[in-house]
Amino acid sequence: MNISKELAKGSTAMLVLSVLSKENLYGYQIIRTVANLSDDVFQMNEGTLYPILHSLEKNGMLESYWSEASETVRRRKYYKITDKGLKELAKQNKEWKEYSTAVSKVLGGAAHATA
Amino acid sequence: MLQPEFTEYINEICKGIKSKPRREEIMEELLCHLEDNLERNLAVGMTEEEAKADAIAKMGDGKALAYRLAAVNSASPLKSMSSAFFSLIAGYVCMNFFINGIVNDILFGIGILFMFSALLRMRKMNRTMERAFHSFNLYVLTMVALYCMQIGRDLNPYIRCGVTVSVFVLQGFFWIFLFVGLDKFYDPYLNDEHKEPHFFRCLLYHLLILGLSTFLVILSDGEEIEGDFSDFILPFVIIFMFFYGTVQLIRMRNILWDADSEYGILPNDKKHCAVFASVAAVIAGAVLIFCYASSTMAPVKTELVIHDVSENQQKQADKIREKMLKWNVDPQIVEDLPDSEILKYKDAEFVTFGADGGSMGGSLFETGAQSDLWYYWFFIPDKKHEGNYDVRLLCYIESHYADSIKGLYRKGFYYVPWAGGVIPFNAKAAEAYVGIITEEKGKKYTAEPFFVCYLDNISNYPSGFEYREEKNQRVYYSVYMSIADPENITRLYASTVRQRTFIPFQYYNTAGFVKTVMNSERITAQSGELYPFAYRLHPLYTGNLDDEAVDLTVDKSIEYEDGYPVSKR
Repeated sequence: MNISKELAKGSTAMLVLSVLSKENLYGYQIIRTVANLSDDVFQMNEGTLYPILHSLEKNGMLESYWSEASETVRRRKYYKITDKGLKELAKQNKEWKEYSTAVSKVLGGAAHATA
Repeated sequence: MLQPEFTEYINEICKGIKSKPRREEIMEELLCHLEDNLERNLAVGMTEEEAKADAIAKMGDGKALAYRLAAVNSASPLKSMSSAFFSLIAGYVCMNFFINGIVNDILFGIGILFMFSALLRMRKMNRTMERAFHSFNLYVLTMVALYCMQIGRDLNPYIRCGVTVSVFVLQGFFWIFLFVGLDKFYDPYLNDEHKEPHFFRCLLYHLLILGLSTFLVILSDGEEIEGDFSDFILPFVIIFMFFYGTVQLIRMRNILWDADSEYGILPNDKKHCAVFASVAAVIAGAVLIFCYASSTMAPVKTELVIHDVSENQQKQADKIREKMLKWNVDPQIVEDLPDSEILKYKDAEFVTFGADGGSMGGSLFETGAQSDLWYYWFFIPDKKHEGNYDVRLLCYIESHYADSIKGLYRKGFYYVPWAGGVIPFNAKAAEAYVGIITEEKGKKYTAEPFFVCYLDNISNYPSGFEYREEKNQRVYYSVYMSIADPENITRLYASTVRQRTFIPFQYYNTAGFVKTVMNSERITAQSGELYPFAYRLHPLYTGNLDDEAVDLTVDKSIEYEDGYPVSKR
């Protein structure tokens, strides 16, 4: 299922922070992890991930480092969430929960509430 | 294995990233991503061509990606301009940081270079900044031209006034273009077109830098601010920046108070800090204006600072001291007088302390009296003259503390013969304070004015006589005084005060005057009072007496030949 761009736009950063809060990942892994966890609902334009990562890093929410290269494996740039990123994630998480609960209530009405 | 299609694609989307190391890092990162996708596609059975095409397609719109990468990974335009702005302020402070001696000129040159390099970068902001850049260049060139024109010669006062006016006008245009250009540059950042999370901090940083630089300039020269910077440019800068900063803050108020603004600069809990900082900046500007205005309106106090002098200055002083000895005058240690020279007039020789002192910005006019330099004024008397002339004062120094005073610190001030250049000088009245040295060497003195007299070209003024002589387009003021015992001159001072207004070219300085103190008698008077004093003609100087002088006691015992007194020695 393709989620509309408008809906997906606001939450991409939050999703990125969320997957990185569990483990350090590089860009391609982030895309795959988000897709897997969402059962392929979120299939973001892979190019849009990198400006988001760089912006989060610039704002201090993430840190990056390069892994060691070996003969068989190229080096990769990993991202790690910072304390500031964790705080921001918690805040956005809370806002999202409030938002989604409110939307659900409006859309579902009494029937939804009792289902 | 490097895929040329990937390399070409990545080069294209990363070309907007200005920093080379950053660009190479991002290219490597994206290349990894593309190759990961390529491997996955090959693993699910795509052909190599299909796999490559799919990997690139998954990256999305290349142009949009290129734009976003460039935007995120480039230096903030405001931040880069912040450094240029700081360079501008540093340059301006250097240009106007008054220090006695050649250091002043070096600093001035460094300041010009700083400002030039800052404006070279800032001129790309918009067309108005381009004009500011050109105005600055013209201003500097005109100033340098004027300085060169005055080396070793007396410039026609009309030409000098005209060129000086151009300098001021060009500098004024520069400031106007600069502030308007900055305003135009900042304007988009006040809307939501650009999301610059640190904009407000940058603006406040600029205001604080300007405020700080203004304070530095004020502090750099002690209690007084001198020259054209203080008289014209400083108030202009302070007032303009104050109102400019205020206008910007008012324009930002909607963003500051709009809780829904996506500007992102002010989370709600920090709004109070931003408002506080804005108010603080506005108050700082108001305080600066008040300080300047009050210092302008307050009577100027002059200072005497005693300090050691250089060998060259000592030689100069020795030369002049020799002359003093010949004249039977208690020799003074005269130091730090770069423009002093010994002139001849008829059979008399005089030491002159006229000056073209001060920084380049201020020495555009021939200066007359020196403040902070306690000395007599002797003027060559002759026929009266009306016309447009500069004033050069002749004097020598006598002090009762000859042994203890090692040097005299000179702070120049500027006499503007603008009025004299265009309007006959005799249309202006001059005013002077006289102070008295009361403390020991090594300490800073504050002279307390205790006598004021008025000078005028009309002979019937209470403080003495004034005669002028036209000589090479210089006007020599003369005041008749006589000293009963030249060998025992106790104290005789002259000082001047500068009156300033905010209107350019209408300020004027005194031509100085002389007052005699007989036998250490201290004379006090309130400012503005007319003080009659006894005098006699000094044997060294010549002139005509005006027998209709009011309140003056004339020594009729002196004989005259050809209108000149005969020396008693």
